[in-house]
Amino acid sequence: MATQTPIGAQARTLPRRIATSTGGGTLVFLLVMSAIMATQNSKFLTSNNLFNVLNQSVFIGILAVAMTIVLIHGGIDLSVGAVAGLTGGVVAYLMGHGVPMGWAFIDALMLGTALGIVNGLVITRLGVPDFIATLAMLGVARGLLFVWTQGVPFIDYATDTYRTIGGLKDLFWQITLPMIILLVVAFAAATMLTRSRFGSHVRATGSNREGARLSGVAVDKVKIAVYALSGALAALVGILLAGRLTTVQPGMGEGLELRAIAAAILGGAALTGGRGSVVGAVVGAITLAVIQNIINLSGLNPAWETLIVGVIILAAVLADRLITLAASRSTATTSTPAADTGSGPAMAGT
Amino acid sequence: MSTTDDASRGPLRAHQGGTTRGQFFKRTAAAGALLAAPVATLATFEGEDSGTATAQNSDSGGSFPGGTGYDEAISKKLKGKTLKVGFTPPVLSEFFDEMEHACWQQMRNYEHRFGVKWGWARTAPAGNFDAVQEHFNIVQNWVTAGFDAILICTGGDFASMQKVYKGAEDKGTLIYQVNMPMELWPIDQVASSSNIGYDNRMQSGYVAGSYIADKLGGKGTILQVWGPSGSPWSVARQQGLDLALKENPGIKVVGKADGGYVRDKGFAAAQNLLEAHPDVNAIYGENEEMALGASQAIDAKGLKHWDGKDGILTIGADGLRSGFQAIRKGRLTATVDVGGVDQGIGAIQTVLAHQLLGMAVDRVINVPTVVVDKSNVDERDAYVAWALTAPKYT
Repeated sequence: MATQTPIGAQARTLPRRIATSTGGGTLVFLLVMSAIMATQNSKFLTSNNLFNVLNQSVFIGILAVAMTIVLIHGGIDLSVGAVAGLTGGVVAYLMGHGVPMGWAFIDALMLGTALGIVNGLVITRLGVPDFIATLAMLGVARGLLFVWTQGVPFIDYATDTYRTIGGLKDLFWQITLPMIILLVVAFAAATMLTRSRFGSHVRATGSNREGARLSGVAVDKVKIAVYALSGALAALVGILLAGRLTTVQPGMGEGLELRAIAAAILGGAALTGGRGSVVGAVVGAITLAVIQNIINLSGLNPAWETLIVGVIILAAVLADRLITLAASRSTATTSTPAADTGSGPAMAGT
Repeated sequence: MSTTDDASRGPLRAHQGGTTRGQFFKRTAAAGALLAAPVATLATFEGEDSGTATAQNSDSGGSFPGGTGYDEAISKKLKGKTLKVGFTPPVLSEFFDEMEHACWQQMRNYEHRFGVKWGWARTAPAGNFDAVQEHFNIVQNWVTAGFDAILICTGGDFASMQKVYKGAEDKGTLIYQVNMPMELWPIDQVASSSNIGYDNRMQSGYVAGSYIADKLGGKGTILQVWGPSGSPWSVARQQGLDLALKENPGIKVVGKADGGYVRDKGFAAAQNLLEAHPDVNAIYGENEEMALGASQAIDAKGLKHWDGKDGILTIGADGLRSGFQAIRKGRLTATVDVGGVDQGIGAIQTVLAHQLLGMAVDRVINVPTVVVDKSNVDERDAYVAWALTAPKYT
C-alpha cells in the first residue's frame, strides 16, 4: 500500500517514519512534553509515576482502541461510557448477590455485546444515523443504571482477586493485569485490522461505503459486528473499572466516551472514517493521562485543567496534521501524489 | 392485523441492506437472549431472599413533640388536608436518597399524628447537573401541576435560579432549597421561602480543617482533592478550610487537584499528588467519593493509613453509609456528616409549619453537622439506617 519508491529512501529513517505515521505527531508531542516535564520536576520520570500514568490510561486506552475501529469503519459510538457503567453495575450487583465472579463477567460481556448489536441493528435496520443511535443508547444505558440503583451505589462486592483484576495490586514489578489486557486488546485489534479479511472490510467500508458494498462487502454485517465489538470492549472496561473503584456509582463511566474519542483522534483517527491507528489510540490515551499527571504534579491551579486539556488536544492534533502535511509535500515533489492525508484506506492499522 | 404488519414491513424494506427479515429477527432474538443473561444468572444463584428491609415507624421523635393535647388540637386543624410536594436533587445519589427517605419518615410521622396527607414526586435532571434549563422545566411543570411546595437542590447558576423561584412563588408553589451553600449569597437576593442546609464554611470546611489540625497536633502537610472549579460548595468549603489553616499556621497545604467529585478522577489525582508529596500527613477530599479514591491511592502506593499516631489521615464530607463502612474498616479516617437526614426532616417540618400552621420560618435554617470517625460512627450510622427504613411514600 505504501509507495515503495526508493527516491526518498535515505530520508526514510525510523524516527521520520514514526513521526509521519498516523498519530505519530502525537507521539512526538508526548515525548517532547515529557522531556520538558522531566527537566522541570524530578518526580515525573520515576518508575512509580510512569506506571501510575500507565495504570490511569488503561481504561481510556481500551475504549480508544475500540473507538478507533468504530471510527475507521466510518461510525462513532457515544454509548461506551454508559455501557461500561451499566455492565460494571451488573458485575457488582451479581457478585453482591453471591454469583461467582466468572459468571458475572460473562454476563457483563454478553450484555455489552448485546447492547452493541442493538446499536448496530438500530443503525442498519432503521436507518438511524450512528451518532443518534449511540447517543440514544447512552441515554438508555445510563438511565437504566440510574433507575436500577436509584442513585445508591453498589458496594461491598469486591474480593481480593477482583481488586487484582481491577489493577489495584501489581502482578509483578509494577505491572498490573489491566495493562496486560490493554496490550493484548491492542495487539489483537491491530492484527485484526491489518491482517484479517474482516479488518480489510472494516477499512473498506470506512473509506468508501458504497464502493465496498458494490464489491461484495456485507456492509451492514460489518457495522453490526463493529458495534458488537465496541460494546464488548466497553463491557470489559466496565468490569475492570468496577474492580478498580470497588464501588459502582450510577454515574460511573460518565464522559469516558468523549475522552476515548479524544484519545482516538490524538492517535490519528479521522471522524470521516477510513483512517486511524490502534497504536496511536493507545499513545493518545497515555497523552491524556500524562497531561493530568503533569497538571497535578506541577501544582497548577486546578481551575486551569479543563482549558489546558482542550488546548493541548488541539495542539497535538495540529502537530500531527502539520507533520503529515509536511511529509506529504516533501514526498509529493519527488514522487507521485500518493501521499495520504486522510481520504484513502492506506493508512489504517498500525 | 395485516395493516400493522404492512406498517412494520415498510421501513424494514426500505433498508434491506442484504439480510432477510428472518435473519433480522434471528439476530434480534439472539440480542434479546444476551440481554436476558444477567437476570437468568441471578435467578440461578440467588439462594434465599436477601431483602431484609423492615418497615418500622416510630411515633416519637420528629419535631413539635407537644404531647397528646397538642396532637389532638393540630389534628383538628389539619385532618384531611393534603400537601403536594416535589423533591428535585441535582443528581440521583446516595446522599439524596438518604435525604428523601428522611422526608418520608417525617411525612409519615405527621400523617400518623395529625392526619395530614402528602403527595410526593421526585425527579432529577437527566443531563448535566448544573444546567439551569432542566431544573427550570421541572419546577415549571410542578407549578403547572399545582404543587404546594418544591424542595430543590441545584447546581444551576444562582441568579438564574432565583428568577425561576420567583415565578413559582408568585403562582403559589413555595420553594424550599435544601443543601445549598446559602452563606455565599446575599440573603435579600434569595427568592425561596426558606433554605434548609448547613454552613459549608463553618460546618464543613472549617471543622474538617480543625479536625486535621487537632489530630496532627497542629503540625503537618495536607493534600486537597477538590471538586470542579466553579462548584459553589467547593468555594464555600475552601473558605472554611482557609479559616482553620489561619488558626493553625503549622498546617500547610502542599498540593491541590481537581477530583471532579468522582472516585475515579479523585483516585488518579491523589495518586499523582502522592507521587510529588509521598511524605504528606493528610488528604482532604471535598466529598467522600474523592476521599475514598484518595484512600485507594494510599493503598496502591503501599503507604500507611492513619492509625491514631501516624500514617496518612483521610477525611471527606457527606455522611453516607458507604463512607461509614469505610471508617469502620479504617480505610477512611473521618468524614463530615453534613446532616442529610436532618435536612430531609427539617424540610418537611418547615413546609408544614409554614404552609399549614402559618408560622414564620427563618430564611436560612442550618442543621447540625458532625465529624464522624471511629469514635462515633456507630451512632451516626444507626441514625441514617433508621431514616432508610422508611418505605417509599406514595
